[in-house]
Amino acid sequence: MWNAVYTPLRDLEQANSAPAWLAALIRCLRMDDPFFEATISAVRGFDLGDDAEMLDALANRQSELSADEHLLRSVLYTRASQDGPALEDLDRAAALGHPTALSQVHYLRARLLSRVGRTAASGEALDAAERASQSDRRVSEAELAHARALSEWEAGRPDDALVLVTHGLSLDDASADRWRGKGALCIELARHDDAVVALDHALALQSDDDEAMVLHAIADAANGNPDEAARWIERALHLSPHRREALAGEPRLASVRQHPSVSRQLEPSPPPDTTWMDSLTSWTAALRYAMGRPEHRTRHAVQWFDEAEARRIHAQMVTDHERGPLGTMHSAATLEYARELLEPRVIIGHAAGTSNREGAKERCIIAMDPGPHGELWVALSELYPSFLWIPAGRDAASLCAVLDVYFPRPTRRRADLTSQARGFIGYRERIVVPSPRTGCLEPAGEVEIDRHFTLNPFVESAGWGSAFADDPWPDDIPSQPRVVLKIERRREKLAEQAPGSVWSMSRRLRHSRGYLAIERHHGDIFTAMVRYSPSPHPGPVAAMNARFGTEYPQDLPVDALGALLGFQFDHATDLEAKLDATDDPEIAAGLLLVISALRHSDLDAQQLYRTWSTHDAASVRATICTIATEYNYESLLETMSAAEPDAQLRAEIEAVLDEGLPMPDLLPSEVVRVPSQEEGDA
Amino acid sequence: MSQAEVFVLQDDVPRSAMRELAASLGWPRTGQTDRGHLVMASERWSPAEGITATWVENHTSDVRSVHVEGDGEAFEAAVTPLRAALGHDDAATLIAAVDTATEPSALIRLAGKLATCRPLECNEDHLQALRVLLGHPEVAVRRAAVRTAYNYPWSELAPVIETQLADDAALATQLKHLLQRLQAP
Repeated sequence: MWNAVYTPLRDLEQANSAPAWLAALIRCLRMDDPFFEATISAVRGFDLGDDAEMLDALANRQSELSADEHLLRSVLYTRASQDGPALEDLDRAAALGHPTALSQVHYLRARLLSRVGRTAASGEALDAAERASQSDRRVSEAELAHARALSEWEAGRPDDALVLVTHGLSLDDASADRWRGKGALCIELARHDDAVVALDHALALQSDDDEAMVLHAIADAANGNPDEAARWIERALHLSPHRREALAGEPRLASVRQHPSVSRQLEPSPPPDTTWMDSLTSWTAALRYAMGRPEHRTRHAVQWFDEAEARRIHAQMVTDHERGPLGTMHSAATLEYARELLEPRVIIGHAAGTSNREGAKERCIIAMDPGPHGELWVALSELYPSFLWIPAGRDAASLCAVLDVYFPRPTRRRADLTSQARGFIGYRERIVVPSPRTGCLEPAGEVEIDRHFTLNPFVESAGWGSAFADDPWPDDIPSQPRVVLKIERRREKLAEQAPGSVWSMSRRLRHSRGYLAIERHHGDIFTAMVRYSPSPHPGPVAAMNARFGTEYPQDLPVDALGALLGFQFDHATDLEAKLDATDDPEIAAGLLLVISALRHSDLDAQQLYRTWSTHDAASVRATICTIATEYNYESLLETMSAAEPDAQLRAEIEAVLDEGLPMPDLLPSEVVRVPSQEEGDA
Repeated sequence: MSQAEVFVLQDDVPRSAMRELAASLGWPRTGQTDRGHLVMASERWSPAEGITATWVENHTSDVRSVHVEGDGEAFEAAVTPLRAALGHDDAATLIAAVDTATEPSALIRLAGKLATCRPLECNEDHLQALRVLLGHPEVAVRRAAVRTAYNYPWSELAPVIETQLADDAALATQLKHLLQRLQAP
């Protein structure tokens, strides 16, 4: 029934036939209610985009919900625009007497009741909130005054609302949101000088509030000050360019819209002149035409640059690869190779690209070789070195075929990642990563390696520890208050390790959506493992292998290669060839440790250890014991105990077997217990 | 009623053979787990609705096996190609090998393999093989037998362990612990 109240309001508004009082009410219903939003957000906690799943779980709970759960469910219903069920849950939470947040329960009830026009009940709920806040202190007097003001406004009494808003600000004037609310109310009351004062306060407290800037422009327009209005419009559009169209149609700016300083801000940008591309090769005109056809345009909205913008981006990319973009780790040789390939190429356009988990957008760049034998290239973002760009033929079909692989972003879980590549990346403190302070390379352990990948543009910054078999993060983290803090807290929680597992930190590859895991073995050996879906574009990896003598699998996605730039990546097969070739027991022992790290989850490796467990050198046999102990290869140790010629070593093996093989050491903070189906299987 | 079959694979059967077979049969891969100290590396496929085929690598015993669960015709349809394509030893072969093997290393491996394919209900031939391993003169073989005996939910094993405990001072602690486990309600 509650939705039924809203539906006619929406219909009336859309029909543009509402009487003035109803139009005002509709505006009020949409007025900013910052404390309401903040309370909803606080009760909801970290929004991972899983409202529907949570609501489903709470709705299907067999047992009685607690007051806290009723409060949470009410918030989930509110976010789903189901105010009726939300109010029922709030009533229940209030009846149960929420132990720590009763004032919030009543406050939310009051706001929802006011929104559906039950003004008297809303006022009673605010009275109850005020009483409850005497003990739980969850809703301040100032916020209560503001809430009463909103109710007055919603009830069509804006003058009374202004008195209450002003009273709230006299109690606490440190809320930019409430100052902005006062500004909006003053505009409604045509008190534009007061609106300017209130909005100046709001912007002094929160300088990037584009909504306050727009309101300021509206007040300035009403005050006959178009230059000042234009200044605030310019600042708002700088922060939120997407508002241009809405502002161009904003009726409250009508009086200044024709003023040159305002009209200059609101005019749409002219479309770029892309005809310059046609002189580059014989096929670019056809490409432009074909990409504009519906079958291609609907798949990938490629936009072409004008020549100046294309040259600017090219120059920026060249500059970026003087030292390498932030978060990447290039050698002089890879930077030189990147510039060598980049310099003759011409940037021509971009596809939409993707956003990272935190919502930062990255364009996918399209380039080409000039000349009759050239072809198209796709850089999955501007931060990819040119040797990791993907060749994309010469026509719309071949270009779309490449873009189809990465855009829209594929959804992949661990079971979908059928291929693996493992490599040894070095020993603790002998690995180096760039320091974010100086840019210079510095020795690295777990912390520094993790920090490097937090900034690396080829992986998502948020990772997870071995306690989680699959990526526990959503592909997109919804925009929400205090999101950085929430991500950081969750990141700490998800870094935890399962007892008995190899220490690892995994991250999503940015575009191919595989996993990159850094593992620590034997205390100081670090390996990298990429789980991936084979890339259909082997060209860049093959070319890089040929240039640098590396042996990356040719089906490795380019973002994996980008993430691994700067690290060695020695395969077990290479190390086993060295093992076969050496006569030095110490070298053999060192190689065996690294090989064991790379093959720790590969049962076939035990045959190798059985062979080396009878080596003449006790140091080699002791190394095999270390490996067997660390990885719980108990039958291997039993076999060695039966055959070991050195009495002392044999006694040590038997002592280990008597005691039981210890779990690998983890710091207490690294341990969390997460039962999994896999453990059950085992 | 759900059926289950375990294939104890011969040592020369690599995981890649299972992957290739699953791919050739069009079985979707449904999961994969890395080795942990007490977690066996595994990889899972779903040959048909309600049927699972799991490759398991027991790193402690150095035994690889495939476990198939499900029922009906689909179960047989999943088991038949595995039986034909992957080299494996059945329980009777492994039990017989206990009598013929002489090297401790071979007997230690056999202990793990027998535990992998032990039936739910006690089987006298299987129990006798375990008795041989538990009484072997080489302590390393006896250790392996005690370690793998934890995998047997057989009450008939308790008197065997009690007998062994009387004769085996070297592994008395391990045998007592095992006996407590077997006698626990």
